[in-house]
Amino acid sequence: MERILGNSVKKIFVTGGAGFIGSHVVDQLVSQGYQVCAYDNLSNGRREYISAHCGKPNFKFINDDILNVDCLRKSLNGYDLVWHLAANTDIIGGAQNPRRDLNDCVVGTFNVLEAMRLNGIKLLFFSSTGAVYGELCHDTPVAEDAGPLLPVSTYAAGKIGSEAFISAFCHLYGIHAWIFRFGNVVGGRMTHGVIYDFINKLRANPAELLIKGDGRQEKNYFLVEECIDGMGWAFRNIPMSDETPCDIFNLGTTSVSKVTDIAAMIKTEMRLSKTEIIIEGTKRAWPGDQPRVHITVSRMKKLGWVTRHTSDEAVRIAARRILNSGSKFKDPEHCSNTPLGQETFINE
Amino acid sequence: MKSSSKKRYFITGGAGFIGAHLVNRLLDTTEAEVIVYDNFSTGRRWPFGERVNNKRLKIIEADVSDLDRLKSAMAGSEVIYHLAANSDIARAANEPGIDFWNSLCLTFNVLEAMRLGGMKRILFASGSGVYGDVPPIPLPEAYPRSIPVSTYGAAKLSGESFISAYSHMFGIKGSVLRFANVVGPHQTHGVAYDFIRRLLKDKNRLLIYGDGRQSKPYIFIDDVLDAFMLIEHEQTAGYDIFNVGTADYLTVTQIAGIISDKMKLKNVVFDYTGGARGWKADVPVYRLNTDKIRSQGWQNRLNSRQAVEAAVAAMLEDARLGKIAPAP
Repeated sequence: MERILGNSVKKIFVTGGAGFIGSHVVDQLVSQGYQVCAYDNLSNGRREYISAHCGKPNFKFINDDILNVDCLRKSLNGYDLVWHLAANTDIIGGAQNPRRDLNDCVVGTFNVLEAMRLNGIKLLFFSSTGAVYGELCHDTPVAEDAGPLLPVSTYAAGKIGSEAFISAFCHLYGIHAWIFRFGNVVGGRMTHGVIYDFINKLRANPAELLIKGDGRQEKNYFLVEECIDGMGWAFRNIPMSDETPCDIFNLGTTSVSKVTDIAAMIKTEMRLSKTEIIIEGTKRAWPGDQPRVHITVSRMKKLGWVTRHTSDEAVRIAARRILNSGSKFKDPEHCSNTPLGQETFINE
Repeated sequence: MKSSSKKRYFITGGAGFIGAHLVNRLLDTTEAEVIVYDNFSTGRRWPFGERVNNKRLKIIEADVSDLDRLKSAMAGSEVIYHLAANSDIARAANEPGIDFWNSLCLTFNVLEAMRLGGMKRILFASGSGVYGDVPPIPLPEAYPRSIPVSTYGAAKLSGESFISAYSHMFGIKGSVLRFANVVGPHQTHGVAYDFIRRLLKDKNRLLIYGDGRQSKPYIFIDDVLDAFMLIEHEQTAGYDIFNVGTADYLTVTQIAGIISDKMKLKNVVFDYTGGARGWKADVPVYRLNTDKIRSQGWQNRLNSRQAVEAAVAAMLEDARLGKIAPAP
């Protein structure tokens, strides 16, 4: 089987590498023999997600923040490609503290771009979101060239700002970037999101499940391994050029799942028959919420890539993984016992 | 400034090129109080003239990056005009952090000060740079895909995005005006300003970046102020974007010709550096579709040539008074 990034690159730097998506990226890259550095401040990421790789010669973990410019610049030296996933994932929190979306997303991305420019690194993956389409994608599925982008959350504004600076840096400094606007990525190790929330709520109180909003929310869900596969596929098959140094790809399934169906599926998977599902009834669950996000993935489809699973299948599989992972990670400090971490890396 | 029931404007970058004109217009045509908030990095006091003694004008020398200062200075203001930004696009090509910290992060601070202080109205000076490297057709506001090629354009586009988000999340009413190249008296930068300074230094040769065929629409400052005043009062949507520009354009070589004529210089040699772009982050040719703001009743009084001619005449007068120095 072809390696995910082919043979043109060897050393990969994964920001947010201990997070939900990042740790899955690390799993694949390390097992396929790439030299991998996971860079993560462990605010959302967890040490145990990457502890399986600690001690392997082709893996390094740096416990630091992308807001730490000095550390980031030193750490990035010598890498071929930056897989930039680090970001604030607490979308709801934006209403209380919008500055997190500026700092963790836009400032973080700017720091990554500056570190790349100063280290002469030319390849970048960026995880953006379908939320950038704002009200445009409420009822009809939108493609990559839909606009204008009128974001309704600081989370989405932060992603647009990041995309904008990536575009500028690509045109000014010869960086090639693949920007992916994700549907909802699901799977094991999720630390947020509707599936994660419903399972936690039902574990706490199996008698009832409150669905925020009007219950008509619909979004596109796809599995984390398919997300990673799609990014690698785009990198191998869609080269950038000086003419088009960066491009944008919607990534997800061609189907959507309704929030009420998700609740029912999780209820079934947890073998709960008596849970009462209550719909709160307000229009938006929180300021900045986008109850319906419809993106079309026809561009990737036309180019030759689709997901294997439907949105509903992805939700069910992800729910099972979370339910089965209950006691999988028993030793959260495992990685710290290995001769790794910031010091060994910086002095290399 | 004593407290009163008068409407109060708060203008970041209020001592800059567009800012000072806006302040003068507000003082001259309304009864409102005006607070200028400016760090005077490019701002100046002399364009206010006698108005510096006007009791309705308050000038605060401070930086928008200082959120605490900004918050307290803004208290009690009704309408925020956010004009503070780095305006030196060419310099930022080699120092991308300038646009990031001195444009985007300032816009964010203004929004935060408004959210924390309960202010609800902002107008933002954006620019054609948000569209980036797109076809040279008249671009409508709803043009689907922005591809910024400069950190200036990126900072404006991301600033707009945060205003959009704040308007949805926190009930702030936001107006974004995307200007063509703005010209007028007391410019602090721009191609005509640069050419005049170079010719003041050496009246025989003029250095021109690029091939001189860069062609852009130019809009006179008074027409820009008309657009601001109109949208401030007439916009109904919670968040909206308007292109503001002339329907014609000038090439850089034409501008060099206008200036040589006005300076009565006969045999200036134009030294072109060559290449389509004036500098790395330049968008050499762009057009704006301005139907949207025209349908609201706005029109430009001067076309591109008239605008540049008027601006050049005013700048030459400033130069005669010693307010514009020859190029170093």
